[in-house]
Amino acid sequence: MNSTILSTGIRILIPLFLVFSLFLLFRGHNAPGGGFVAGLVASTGFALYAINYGAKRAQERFKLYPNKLIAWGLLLAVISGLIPLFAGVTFMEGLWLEEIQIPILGKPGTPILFDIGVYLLVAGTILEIIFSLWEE
Amino acid sequence: MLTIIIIGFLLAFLAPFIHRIAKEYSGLVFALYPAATFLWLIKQYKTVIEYGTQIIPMEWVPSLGIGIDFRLDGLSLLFGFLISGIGTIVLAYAGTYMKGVPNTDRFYVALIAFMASMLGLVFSDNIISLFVFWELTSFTSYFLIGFKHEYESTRKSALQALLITAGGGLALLAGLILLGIGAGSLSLSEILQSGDILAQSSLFNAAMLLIILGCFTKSAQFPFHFWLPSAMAAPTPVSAYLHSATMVKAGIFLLARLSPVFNGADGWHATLLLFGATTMLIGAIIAVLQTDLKKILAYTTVSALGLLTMLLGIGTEIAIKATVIFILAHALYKGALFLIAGIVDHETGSRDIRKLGSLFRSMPFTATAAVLAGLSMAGIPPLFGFISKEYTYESTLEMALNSPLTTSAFFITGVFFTAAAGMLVYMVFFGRRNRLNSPTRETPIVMWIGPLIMGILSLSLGFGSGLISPLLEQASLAIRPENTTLKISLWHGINTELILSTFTVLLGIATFLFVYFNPRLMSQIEISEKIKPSYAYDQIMEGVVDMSKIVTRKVQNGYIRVYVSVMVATFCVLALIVLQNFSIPKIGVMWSDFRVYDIIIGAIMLVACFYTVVAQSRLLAIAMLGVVGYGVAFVFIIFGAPDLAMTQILIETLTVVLFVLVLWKLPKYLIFAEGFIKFRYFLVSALFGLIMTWIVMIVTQYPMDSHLKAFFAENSYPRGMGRNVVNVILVDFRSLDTLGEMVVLGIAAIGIYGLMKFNSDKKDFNP
Repeated sequence: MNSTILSTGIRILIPLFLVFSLFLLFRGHNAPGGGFVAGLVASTGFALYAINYGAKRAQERFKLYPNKLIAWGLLLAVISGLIPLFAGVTFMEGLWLEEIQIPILGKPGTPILFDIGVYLLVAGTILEIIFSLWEE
Repeated sequence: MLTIIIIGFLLAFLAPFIHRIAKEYSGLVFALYPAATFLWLIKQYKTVIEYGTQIIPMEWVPSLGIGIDFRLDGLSLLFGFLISGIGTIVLAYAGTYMKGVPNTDRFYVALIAFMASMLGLVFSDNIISLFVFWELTSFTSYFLIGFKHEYESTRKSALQALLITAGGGLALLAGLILLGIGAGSLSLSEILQSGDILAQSSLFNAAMLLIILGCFTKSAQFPFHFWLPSAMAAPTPVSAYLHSATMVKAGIFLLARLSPVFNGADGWHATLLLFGATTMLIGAIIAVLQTDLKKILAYTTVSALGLLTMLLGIGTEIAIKATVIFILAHALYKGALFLIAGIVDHETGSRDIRKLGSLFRSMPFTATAAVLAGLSMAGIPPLFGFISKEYTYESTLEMALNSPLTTSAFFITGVFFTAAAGMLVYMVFFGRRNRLNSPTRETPIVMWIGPLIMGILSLSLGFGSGLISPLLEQASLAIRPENTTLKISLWHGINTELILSTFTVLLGIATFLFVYFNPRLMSQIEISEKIKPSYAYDQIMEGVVDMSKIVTRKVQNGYIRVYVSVMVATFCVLALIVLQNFSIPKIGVMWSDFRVYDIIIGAIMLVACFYTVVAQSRLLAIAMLGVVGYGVAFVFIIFGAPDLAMTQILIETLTVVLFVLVLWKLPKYLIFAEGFIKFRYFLVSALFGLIMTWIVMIVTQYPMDSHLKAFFAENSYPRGMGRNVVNVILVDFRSLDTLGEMVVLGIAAIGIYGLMKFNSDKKDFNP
């Protein structure tokens, strides 16, 4: 597939997709958004790049390894569930550092870590499917 | 105790990183763990000698009576010393043995995890945690046996060992649960004390037989013994550690552990005696027919395990003493011989005793260790193996019933043990038939020092058996609480045992000489495949595969439309069963409830649906489906669910993208379904549509005042720190569900990856 408009446009669009996905990810706790949608947005950018330039090139250009993304996503989610155990509460109970307020990103807490895990996993899953289908 | 086990698992987890730093010294670094455990156990040993059995309680699932309690007594300490002591030697040895082998880090992960699980197993004081550790040892040993996974035979052996031990594990679990019900407690200490109540229980026999079955599979008793020789596919340090000193003795350990409960029951004695003696004889006879060093060792190990089972079956005071002595003696000499076999294999590249010979000159230290271990195995005084044999004879001679039978069975075994020891040591290190051209040299000290230490221990414990007596006494007390003190000594005076022992050795030497001078004759003896239990195993496995092939062909016929229609039809049937209790609700549609754009969106979706069905190209059908999806997204927006709408739109977009990618790969669009078939699918989908409509109508009849909605709305900010209720539910209140979904999603992605990779290997198949 080769379209000049897409191939030029997507180079500019990828950073936008990524920034927008991060925006969705971090605002998700208080406003519409969240890890799932953010992961979909992030993968859409790369998916369009892959369709235009081929999966192999996309993978090399951005050092994207969907398998690793999936693994990291799951690992982060599990870790976010394990952290509360060390604080003496039950598995997966949300823990927050209430005093700290990071600008733009908001309060750090285990549910945010969990959401980042969702984000990575969803992006990894979509890219895994697209890359495997598009590998020729 | 728990700390030690947790450190073990943590170390296993970190092993690849440590290995990357420590490189060829990692074996020595890892050996610090069992060494430290060994020292810690010595400290505990003093406490046990002074104050008796120690229980360290630790709650796990208190509501079910499950705890990670630990029990320190003579028996668990004896095994603990073996696990940590031999573990130290094996890890240090493995560092050099595995040098240059790829993926050594994985080897360390599995081996250290195994070590920690084995420690957990022998020290558990709760039958459930014991079972968990039991299964962990099966599981880790699967990875260790299958370490050289490039070979098909290795994979088969690993799977065989796993299926047999894990299959036995199922029986064991059932047996342990029955035992727990019968005793009214899952705590081992309480079970051991409630032997009388248990003996009355109707579950007693079932529990006993199931537990025996589990132990027999683990400890390679006939007819399950064949997995152990196959497991020799593992790297030699693994064979030395798992398949001679520790894991295979787990079954023996559990039989010994539960002896106070079962000892006295008729079935217990008969079963253990019969199967133990059979295993012992079969193992010993087959061992002498082998030519591979590791196979000889494997079959003599099978035989030794049979002997231990038989001794536990005899169950008298002297037999229990003989058991603990033999456990130690066997671990010392067999572990050493395995490691020596590994050295020989490593240096010469061969394990065939017909080719090896006269290695003594080039490997004096290894040879010395081998001689000591071999003498102990043959039961020649003053080595520890001799004492062990004396006690065994004493226990068989003392039996009230069947004494001549068991004594002669043990006599035959002893003869073959001596012969096997000769084959292992004399033929390899002294015989003049070295047919290998490769020059051999002595190995680095880390490799031969371990076997040598074990050999010297075999020798010094023979003389200084007083040193080890208190530990063995505690162990025998743990197996049989009414036992008296144990004083081991080398010299018992001239008695029947000594005369029998002498004849055993003499006849053993004669047998060895016969084997040595008639290699051709020996190689002609063949055991028919069909009478081996492994043949039955192979037949069963083949049957299972064939059966699943037939079922797969029927169920997985490759037509997606069949799968989908089966799923939908099943749902319809199930839904109808539930729905028959509901009446068809009245349709109370008020046209004034609809807004103009509701109707427009509805109409667009309906038209798109229609075109999806009648479309003559896939692209059109998918695009139309997309229209339906976007319509749903609009509905979400109208009813105030921006989260859902956003997700829906993205999903629809990606679905179309994915479909386009799939279309690229598919052959031309053809219509296969005609006439009647088409009508059948029409019926199914129409039914499905009707039922869904019906459900929606029923649902909307009830007012939507769920408590959950109010709960989430109220608590989202105070307890979940977020104003977006949907997101807070997903990542906080219901995060476990989300985690489950994530796992499913990840597995699905890896599945697709695997499918696509698999297909692209067969390039010519792809159109």
